[in-house]
Amino acid sequence: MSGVTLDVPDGEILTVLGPSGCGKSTLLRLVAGLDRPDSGEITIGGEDVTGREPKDRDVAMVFQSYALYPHMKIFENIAVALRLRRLPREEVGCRVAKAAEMLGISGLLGRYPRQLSGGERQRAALARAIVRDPKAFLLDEPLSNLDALQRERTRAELKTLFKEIRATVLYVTHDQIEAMTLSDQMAVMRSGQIEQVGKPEEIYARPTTFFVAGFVGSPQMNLLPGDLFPGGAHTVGIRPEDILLAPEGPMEMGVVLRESLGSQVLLSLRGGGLELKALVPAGRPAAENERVRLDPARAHFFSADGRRIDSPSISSSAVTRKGRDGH
Amino acid sequence: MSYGYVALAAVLLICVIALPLAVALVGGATHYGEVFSDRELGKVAFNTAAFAFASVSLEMCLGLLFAIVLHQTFLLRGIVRAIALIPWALPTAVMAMSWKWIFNDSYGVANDLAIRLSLVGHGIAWLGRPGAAFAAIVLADVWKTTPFVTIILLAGLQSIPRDLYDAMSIDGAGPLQRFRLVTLPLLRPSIALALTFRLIQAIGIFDLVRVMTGGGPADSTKTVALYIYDVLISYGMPEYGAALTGVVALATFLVAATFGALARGRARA
Repeated sequence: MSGVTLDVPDGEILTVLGPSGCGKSTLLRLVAGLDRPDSGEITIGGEDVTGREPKDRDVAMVFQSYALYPHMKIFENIAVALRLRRLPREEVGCRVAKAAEMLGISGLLGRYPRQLSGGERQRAALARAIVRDPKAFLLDEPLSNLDALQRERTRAELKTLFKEIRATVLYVTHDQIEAMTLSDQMAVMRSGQIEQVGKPEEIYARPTTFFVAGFVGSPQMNLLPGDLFPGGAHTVGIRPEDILLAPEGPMEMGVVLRESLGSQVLLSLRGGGLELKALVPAGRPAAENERVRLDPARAHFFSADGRRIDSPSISSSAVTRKGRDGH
Repeated sequence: MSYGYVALAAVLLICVIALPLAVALVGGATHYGEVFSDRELGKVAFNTAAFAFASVSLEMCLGLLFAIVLHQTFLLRGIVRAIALIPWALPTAVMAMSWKWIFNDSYGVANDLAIRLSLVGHGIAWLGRPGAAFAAIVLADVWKTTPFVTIILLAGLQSIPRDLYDAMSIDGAGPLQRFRLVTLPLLRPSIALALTFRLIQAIGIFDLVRVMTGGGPADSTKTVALYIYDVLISYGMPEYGAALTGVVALATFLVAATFGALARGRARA
């Protein structure tokens, strides 16, 4: 990992999104103090903590595995950090009770972790983090061991909770929906480097690299050869929802596959040497062929080294497949 | 059909375990009273308890220390782990002979070292003095069986997830507190297992003592197993030997089970 600069503003949630092995967990461990950087500095709340032990950094971490202490009851699990800081017994009891109440696990304090369901353990791990009232929260894929329904519910609860306690959060995930929905700021990471930082909607609307374009957004952006449009771009990206199907479209493509996503249908189209995915309303009648128009105003252009080209000299008129074949 | 196989195994077990046990119990039945008034048994039981206490407690402490060292990441760790196991892999009778030579009063390495280091002026008859002989046997047993404890505790250490240590570090614990709050409690099942095995083996110790001191000097290192051997072979009293064996086996089981359960403690909850 090198050249990573990230700033999490107070009270905001910054998610780091990236494929597995991109270094996002290492980043979290560096901030926590579990690993040491070869160079560079880490500041928390304006204080340089680069050389400090994890316990002296005033951060709390939620692990993917939850890392609850199996031999301690939930109360002890939540209380241990306070006890290690020698807080008076009454205060420990009071703060544990409050944290447990916020997460709705007051009734589980007398149980052992193995007697809890996955969702309950997840809450216990969160309670253990918030009871400390730390300067920053570090979360490492905290929802990935939950089933889809629980994940969706917990995601919303997390956001509400963190906003309520005005937490400063560094959140690592490979799940782009989590990143999109939770973040104030989002950083996309690949091979130990930050590809782009910004608000989720900005990143979605204006990916600055080819990698981000392909990684953020589901279904994935169509990544097509750059010579579809004049202007010298190496690659062109168009999101499936930006593919226009219209009777006057210049390209005729065959419908290879229809996948229903409920309110929308994802069409796989093939024709003229191209393969595309297009997202259309569910009401659209099925057809064997569709006429397609690619709008350069909705396209993203990338150079050969994967960087975004902001204003390629493109004629405003849509380019057709025929035009391209004419080369 | 499938019961046929079970029946065969059952018959075999009855023949080699249940029948001999029944014969021993019935045969020894009239002698159980004697067991409890046997003065010599009291003496050898004390020796055995002292040996078991000294050797097992040293082995548990050293074994834990070695396990923690071998659990660290270092160069050639695999080879070092293999080397650490060698003492345990040696046949007891063979290594007992070696220790006997080491402690030989005129040409043993122990005296040679002690004299060169000026710890003593002249050679000590290690195996000829009660206290020294006891210490020599304990040392030999610790040398041989610490690797056994090490390997069980090392397996226990390896089963503790790394995340728990990370979480405890962030929660504010230093190395000693992590040991007390994570390692020790999660190692309890392994400690209980090693302790149970070691107690059973230590209480039944025979070959090591037999080779090194033969129970001497003056029966000062005579253990229960050596005494039973004498009763059976030297004194020619098979029925009393059977009664003795029955009582000792039961006592061994009770001691091992009790300490094992104590060590396991809250981990059962």
